[in-house]
Amino acid sequence: MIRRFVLVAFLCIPTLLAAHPHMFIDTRLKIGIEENRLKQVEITWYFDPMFSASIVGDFDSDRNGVFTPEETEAVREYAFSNLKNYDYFTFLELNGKTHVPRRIENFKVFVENRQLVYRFSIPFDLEIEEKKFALAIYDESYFCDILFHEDSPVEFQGTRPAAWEIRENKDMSINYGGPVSVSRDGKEYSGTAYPQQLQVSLR
Amino acid sequence: MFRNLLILLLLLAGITALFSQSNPFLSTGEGGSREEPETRVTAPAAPRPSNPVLTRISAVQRRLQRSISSALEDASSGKDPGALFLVSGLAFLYGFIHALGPGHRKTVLLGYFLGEKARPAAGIITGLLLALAHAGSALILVGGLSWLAVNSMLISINRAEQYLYPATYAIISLLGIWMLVQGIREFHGHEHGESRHSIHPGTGGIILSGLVPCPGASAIMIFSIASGGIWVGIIAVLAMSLGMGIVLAGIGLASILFRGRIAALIRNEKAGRNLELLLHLGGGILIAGFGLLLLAGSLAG
Repeated sequence: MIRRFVLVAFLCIPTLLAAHPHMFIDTRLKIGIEENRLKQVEITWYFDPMFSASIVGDFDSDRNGVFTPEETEAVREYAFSNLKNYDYFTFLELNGKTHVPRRIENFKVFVENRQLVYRFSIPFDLEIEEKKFALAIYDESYFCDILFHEDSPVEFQGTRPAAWEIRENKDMSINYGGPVSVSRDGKEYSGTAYPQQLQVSLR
Repeated sequence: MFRNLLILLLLLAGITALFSQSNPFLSTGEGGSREEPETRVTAPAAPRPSNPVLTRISAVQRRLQRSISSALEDASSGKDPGALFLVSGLAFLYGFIHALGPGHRKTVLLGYFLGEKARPAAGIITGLLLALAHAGSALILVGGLSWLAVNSMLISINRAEQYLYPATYAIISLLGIWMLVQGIREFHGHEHGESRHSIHPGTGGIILSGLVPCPGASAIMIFSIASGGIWVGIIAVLAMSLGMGIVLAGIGLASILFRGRIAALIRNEKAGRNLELLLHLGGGILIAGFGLLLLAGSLAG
């Protein structure tokens, strides 16, 4: 009896550690490589129906799914720019270091198949010394649950990579700021604290 | 047993729950933007232990949120009369799973009912009302904004949260300090008379501490208003709060029963009194520490 209560009490402990997901995002990446340099990454986020309705309701005055330049600027200022405090959820592992973006370019917002979409680019321009790099898109506060899009998650421009794959790399020191992890249908629940990571190797 | 409990309390007290629960996307406006280098190097984060239970919770929530959205649309359009039942059922399930995840003042419930002697009914009622406060505040806030024809709902909610979060953290801190003061009075030989009542003075504080709008409930309300069925949204949010309430009532009840079990184990009257005192002080320290850490975090951020 008491054991069971201890168990219940202990189950509550991880619940203190992090905020639970309230938003669900599918991400696609377009990666520009020139020779041995990572030039830029274009990120596209597809949002859940509820956040989509919220942003369209708040910023798209005629609700036609098309954002005018003024409306786009308002979305960027009020519902995007704060992400600079979260490193735009983008973590690049390159040459043994973790790089995060400080600024982004070409912010766009539109509606596609009734889903709200944000698209923006990150200029990197970094030398790929070890012929490989890895990119993970995740929210450390775990307000947002972010997964790679099931349908063509990655596209490459310029130099083709030798290989790429998306996986939860348990050797990488990436965490959700709490004992949580994500997984999707058809995939095994690994129960690790690691978000999905794109791993790319060059020739 | 005694040692287990001490370990539990220390573990709980040692955890710094400083994560912001507000939406990372939202800002109330930005200051001047300055030219910055393109990237910066950050320290790699340390690996943490895993929890397979929470993995499943987030995967299920992702699917549920989509199902609720489409069921809400069906119910709002009035085409399918059964859709309202489906929405209520899904929202109830969403609330239940949602409350299993992190947050929702579970620390406060746990600390309070471990520390204060209370009847099982008090734990159940407090849990249910706490969930109702959490979802109800979203319902009233979004409903009110819609009634006032405010266009920028997300931003307005975000602004309201800037005040509500510190306010509820202050309530939690005061509740913990009040428990500590009661414990210290007991230590000096004053009888603790409150436990005879089925209504606890501190439970009001717990319920008030839940008055921050639940982001999940806000999302359901905004979505239902956008699809033209605010009443469907209200019903869904109430069903969701019942789902969350069952989890929170369970935590309250478990804490009370757990406390009762330990108290019953100790036959020695003096040792029993000391244990009650320790629980009381421990609960107070846990809640006050939790509240003050969150308060400091929210004021510093």
